[in-house]
Order: sequence, then C-alpha cells, then structure tokens
Amino acid sequence: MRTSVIAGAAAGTLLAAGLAAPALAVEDGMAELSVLHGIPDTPVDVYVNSANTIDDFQPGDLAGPLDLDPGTYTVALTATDAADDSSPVLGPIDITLEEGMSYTAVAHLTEAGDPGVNLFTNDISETAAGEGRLTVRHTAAAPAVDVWADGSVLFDNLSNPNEVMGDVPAATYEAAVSLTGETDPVLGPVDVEIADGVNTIVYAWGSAADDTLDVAVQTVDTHASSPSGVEAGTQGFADERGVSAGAIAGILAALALAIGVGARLAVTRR
Amino acid sequence: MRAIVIAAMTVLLAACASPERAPAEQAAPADRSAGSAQDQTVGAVRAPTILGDVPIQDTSPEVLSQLRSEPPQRLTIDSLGIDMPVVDVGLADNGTMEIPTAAADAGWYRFGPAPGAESGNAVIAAHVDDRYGLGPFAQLKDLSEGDGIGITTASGEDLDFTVTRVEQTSKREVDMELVFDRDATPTLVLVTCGGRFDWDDGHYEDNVVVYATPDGRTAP
Repeated sequence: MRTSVIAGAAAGTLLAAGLAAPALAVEDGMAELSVLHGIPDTPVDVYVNSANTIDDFQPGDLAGPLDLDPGTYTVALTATDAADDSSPVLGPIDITLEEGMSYTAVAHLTEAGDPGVNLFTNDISETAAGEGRLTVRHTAAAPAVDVWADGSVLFDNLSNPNEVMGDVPAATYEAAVSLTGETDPVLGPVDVEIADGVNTIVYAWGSAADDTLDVAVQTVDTHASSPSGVEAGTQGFADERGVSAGAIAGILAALALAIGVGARLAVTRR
Repeated sequence: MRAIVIAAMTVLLAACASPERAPAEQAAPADRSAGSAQDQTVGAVRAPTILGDVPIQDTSPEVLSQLRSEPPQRLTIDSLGIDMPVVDVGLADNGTMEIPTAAADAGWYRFGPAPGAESGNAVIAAHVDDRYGLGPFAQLKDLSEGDGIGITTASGEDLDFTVTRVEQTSKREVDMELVFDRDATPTLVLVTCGGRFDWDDGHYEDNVVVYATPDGRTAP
C-alpha cells in the first residue's frame, strides 16, 4: 500500500476497501418508516401500538423517517382531541416492517373517496452513478392517470392505490399528471429534481371531486454509486521521475502540435 | 444535494411546526397476544420507543426546490496563487468522473453535495496537466495543513475552507466510495493526478487528494 501523507494527520482514508463502511440507507438492524397524511381537511393523531406518536398531524405533511425495530405494529388514526385510540377514525391496522427496509404508510382516499391506510415499500436498492429513482404513487380519489416528464408520457394508466417507478438520469424534470389518455394536466406542471442516489417519491393525493388534488414529494436515500475513478492528467508533465528519454519523442510531438496552433508551452523538469 | 434537502427541511420546518405539538410519549411495552397479530410476524411486538419529537416535513415540491445548494463557480487558493473557474461536471463514458479538458478549469461533481451543503464530500477535480503544460492543480501537493481555500458560489456567496489533509495514493488503492462519501461531515475535496506517469497507457499512477473543512466547523 503506497499512501504518502503530504500534509496533515495520517488518516489513511485512501487505503483500499475493507476499511471503508458503505453508506447505509437504513440504520443497521432497523426498519425505516415514514407516514404521509393524504386525507384532505382531517387533522389526526396517529397512534402506534396505543401510544400517541404523531400529534395533530396535518394533511399533506410527512412524519419521519423513524428508525424502528423490525416487527408488526398496530396503527390507528384518531381525532386530534381524542384521549386514546379506543375510537379511531381509521384503523386499527397491522403493518409489518422488515429489517433493512424503508416504508411509507399513507393515509389516503380510495378512488371512490373512502379513507384508508396503505403501507408502501420504498425501493432503496442501488442506483447507478448519475442516476436517480422516480416513484409515483396514485393515492388520490381520482380515476387512472398518466404521468408526464418534460412533455412526454413516462408512465401511463396508473390507478389508485398503485405505484410505478424507474431509474432515470439525475436531473430536474418538469412533471405533470393528466387523466389517462388526456393531455391537459390535472396536477402540475411542476419542477421535480431527481437527484443521484435518491428515490424521489411523488404522490398524487386529495379528491378530484372536491377539487383538492395535490402533489406531495418525499425523498429517500438509495444505496448510491460513486464514479469509478478520477483520471485527471494525460500528458506526463507532472511525472515525478522527470521526463524520461523514452518520452522525449512524445514531448516533441506535442511541442510541434502546440507550436502549430500558436500556443505557449510550459515544460517543467523535476 | 439530497442531504441538504432532508436536513435543512427538518430544521426549517420544525421551526415552523405548531407550538402545540406535544412530544411523543414513551409508552410501556404493549401486552398483546400473538393471536391478534398476523401470522407473518417478523419480530416481537412491542411499543416503539420514540424519543423526542417526530420530525414533520412539508411535502410541496416548491419547498423542496428552494433548499438546494448553489453550485460553486470559482476556486481560489491564495497561498498557491490559484484563481480558477469551476464548472458542473458529471460522469465520463467510462464511469469515471468527468474532468474539464483544459487544466485551467476545475470541475465540480454535480451528482454529489455542493460546497456549503449540510453533509458529505463536495468533490472538485482538475487535470494536473494538459497539452500546454502543467495546470494549477499540479501545485496541490504543495499545500499544507491550515492553508485556506475559497469557493464562490453561483449566487455570489463566499465560502472558506481550511486544509486538514493532503494525500497521494496509488490509484489501485484509492477508495472512491470514501472520496465521494455523501453522509460524512461536510468536507471540500480537491482531486487530481500525480506520481509516476505511465507513458504506455497515458495515465498517472496516483491520485493527489486534498481534504478541507468549512471554516466555523471542527475537523473530524
């Protein structure tokens, strides 16, 4: 192993893998849970295993992420002035969380407009360098929709309570949602950044009939990839050993080319 | 960038949260029989121990977009007489970091954190040389611990950093996951090539890497 510490403390951080811990998307041994409140006009308290965990939870807000021990949890939503979860407005429902996984529990309306709770699993598997993941979830009281990015349909015929996802080049996209087969947007267009190493989860929520349709965005880290290297030099001028006899021809060729285009040439011999 | 969105949003919107929010209570372990749980129970059923407030975030795309860091536009190192432009770069076709062709231009890896982000390594690289000779980054190995580095962002903000480490390592042993780490304490990382030049392959054998900490923070 050849690391020279030129300045500063010898941290040895550039030594080979085996010493490096990969970035963890979910805490070791735990499960990650977020909760999205997607039911318009209804602030609630959220009870988990009979404990008031999220107090006065507002529609459109996202709670968490919470790191929880893997297991099954009972979730109930009550009115905000409830003393306990004995008379919930929604639930109780049991949700099972597995180790190393990332979840979002969503309280939302069915297509018909009835309230319910759904547990979605967030895909945090590795994304390639330069790519992010886009997930779209239909959690609105509305018919099937098409999802548009930069003026073209990216996913079509998505219905409640389903999701679609795909990995795309990391960039900011103009996103919009239309009813399936139509072109006029019912949501957006709005700029959504799909960042490298992130699962950007876009929810359509609310009610078409009540004109409360809205977009919610949640971001969850995936296991991200780095560039494979940094190749930052191609000419040999900084060669530690100096310019070898065998390389003189290469230098002269570069010199002829540089003079040919009228450029100045700096050659440093070490 | 993701890092600053999540961290900053939690801080920003916790400040905007209703003052009536009660802290989550720590409940006694629930006494539930296995018969009431689903057959596919993974682990023991018990009450979550959630200490302190549960973070609550707004989810509007407009709020998210406002919290993105500004990209760097200028890099200055007074002790080396360096004052060079910085452009956004991504990936080269072979999966390595894209580097501006001219050694006089630096490139910031735009898929990672920016200088000034809440966490992670902001990576800026430049060629050590080009067809015209040595570039400014050929001097990086002359930096000492304590030297200052300045970044000017696209919005005109000046950020100051102080060098904590300068290392030169064989490329076979450089751990790119560490160089491009997004979760560590925020650090400015300057990278170039150095060491022996392989005349057959046209590559340098080593990477020279400079780590600098934002002023106002303690080094890790």
